[in-house]
Amino acid sequence: MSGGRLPPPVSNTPWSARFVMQSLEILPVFLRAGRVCWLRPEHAGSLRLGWPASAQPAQVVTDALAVYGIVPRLVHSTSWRHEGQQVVLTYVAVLAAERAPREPGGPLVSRQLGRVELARGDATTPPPRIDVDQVLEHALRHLSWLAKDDPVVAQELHDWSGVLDAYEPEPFRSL
Amino acid sequence: MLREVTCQCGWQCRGTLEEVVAQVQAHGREAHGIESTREEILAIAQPVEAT
Repeated sequence: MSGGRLPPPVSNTPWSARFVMQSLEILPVFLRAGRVCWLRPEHAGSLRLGWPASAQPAQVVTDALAVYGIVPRLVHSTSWRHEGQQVVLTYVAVLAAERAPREPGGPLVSRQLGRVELARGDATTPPPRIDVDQVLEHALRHLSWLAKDDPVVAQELHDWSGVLDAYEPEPFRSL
Repeated sequence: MLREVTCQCGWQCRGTLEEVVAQVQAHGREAHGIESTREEILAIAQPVEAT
């Protein structure tokens, strides 16, 4: 994205205090040389979108990825968390390795994913802080669980089995 | 009324129309080498409710 015309915005939904649940977070992941990598906008911690009240969230996710020329092979809601004044619903989007954007040039940048401890809260309270890396850790554990429980996911992620075996299976939950 | 623009690279700005136009033009030029017109920015700037 350089030297051309002004590209379309990634979302046409502005932030609004009138909605409680408004934010979608998309974590695109893909395999490169057998390691998990993920994509985020060059100037943001993760890809965040407004969520129009009338829209299906998975459709918002795929439409937003299309703006970047990305067609995911799997999208799945994986966790939610309260942040600021809104609920953030996170989708993990699995990309085929050969269709992942190549750097440099953005607007998305990739980073190899490492392992981190999950954010854990008390029995009645959420974790005091949740980093995107911890959301990703949970997302991979969720995919590990789905790959064993959901035949569709198992088929789509057949080439991820070796990677996902390293993650402790865990279903959807709040973070 | 405030306006908001979110670039594909994750950069965001919010302000009056004139502020947003100026910020988007500066960001496009500095970060992406893109020259954008006021009309192009008006077409993508979303209205935002004051809070």
